[in-house]
Amino acid sequence: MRGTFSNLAAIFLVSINCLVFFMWYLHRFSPNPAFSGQQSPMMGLSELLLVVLLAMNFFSLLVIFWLINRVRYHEIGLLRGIGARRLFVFKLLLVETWFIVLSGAVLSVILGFIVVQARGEVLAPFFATAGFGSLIASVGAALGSTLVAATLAALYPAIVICSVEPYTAIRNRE
Amino acid sequence: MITKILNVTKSYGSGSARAEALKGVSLDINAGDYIAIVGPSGSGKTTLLSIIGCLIHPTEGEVYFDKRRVSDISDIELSVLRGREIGFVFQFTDLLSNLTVLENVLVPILFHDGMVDEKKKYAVQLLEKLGLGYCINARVQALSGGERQRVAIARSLINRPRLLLADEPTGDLDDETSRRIISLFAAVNASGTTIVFVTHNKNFAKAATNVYEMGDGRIQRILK
Repeated sequence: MRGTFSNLAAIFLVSINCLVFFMWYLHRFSPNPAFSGQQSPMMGLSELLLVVLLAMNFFSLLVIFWLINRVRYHEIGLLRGIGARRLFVFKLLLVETWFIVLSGAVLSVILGFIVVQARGEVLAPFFATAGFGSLIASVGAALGSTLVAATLAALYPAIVICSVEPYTAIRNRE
Repeated sequence: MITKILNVTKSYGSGSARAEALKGVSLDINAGDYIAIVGPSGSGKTTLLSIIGCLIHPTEGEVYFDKRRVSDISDIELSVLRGREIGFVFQFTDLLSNLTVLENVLVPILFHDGMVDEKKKYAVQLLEKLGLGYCINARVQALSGGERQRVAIARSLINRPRLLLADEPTGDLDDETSRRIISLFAAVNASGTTIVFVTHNKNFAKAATNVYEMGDGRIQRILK
């Protein structure tokens, strides 16, 4: 149950991360100087806020991945006990992280769609001037950046759990 | 000789919270041995079994597997050892709950050999021999305690290990299932597999050729 909750929380955080990255890249890639931060000093401030938001999101992800691994501590000990190498477990954890990123990306599209539906009249001119090319580039860059950020956040918890002695983890039935 | 345990101690915690689970235990395990370890809870039985199975390193003393000092073996080699040479039946019949019976039995193969048809056939044979042929594709969550225990035993035997270690394999099981597991272990030992198990079941311990009684982190007596 706790595992499911942690996974859902991770997916949600990843989707927020993806959306924030998307907005950021859209600012950057937009051919319209009004949206690429060249004219408004407020754009600089909003970018700073985006960086802070992303940093907070990164640490939240790190904590969530830590929790996900804690819940699976016993299972991972079991796998190590019956012959799994550290590298195998490490790869398993990373692949699962990427599945979370994929699910988060799908959720971010849904969330984005809902936001556009709700505030379409405000966002319409923004998207209209952004251009199709910059939209696609922003989506790609947001996905790539989210993947990198989530992988980095998952690295430390994965390394720690892989270095635990199998017996210690097997005895842990939290 | 498969394993030699030489004057092994194992401590947990530090400072005032330090507890000594093993205090200078020595034990030789030869090929074909059928050893039972008995004793009260907290006497160090599971810790000793885990050290024999290379799941933990001792605080002091030496452990040899195939005349190689375990502390000199790399982590990768230890994983291979645990996967291929040693079969382990854990105390709480730990299975992966989101997998089927057959998938659980096949898990150890994934780590080193990859899935091969011969192993799949062997897994099915093992499960049938253990009376689980009817639920090969069932989720383990749906199984009873006895069935789960037999799945764990099948998993421990899938790589035809030379050394089978079992921690309370008949714990919480009814008499009929316990008898079934005792006779299965006898058959596995007769086929050449060395077995070391921890038990509270006196009938099960009687079936072994050597019985050691543990108490206070030491081997107190050799009962048989």
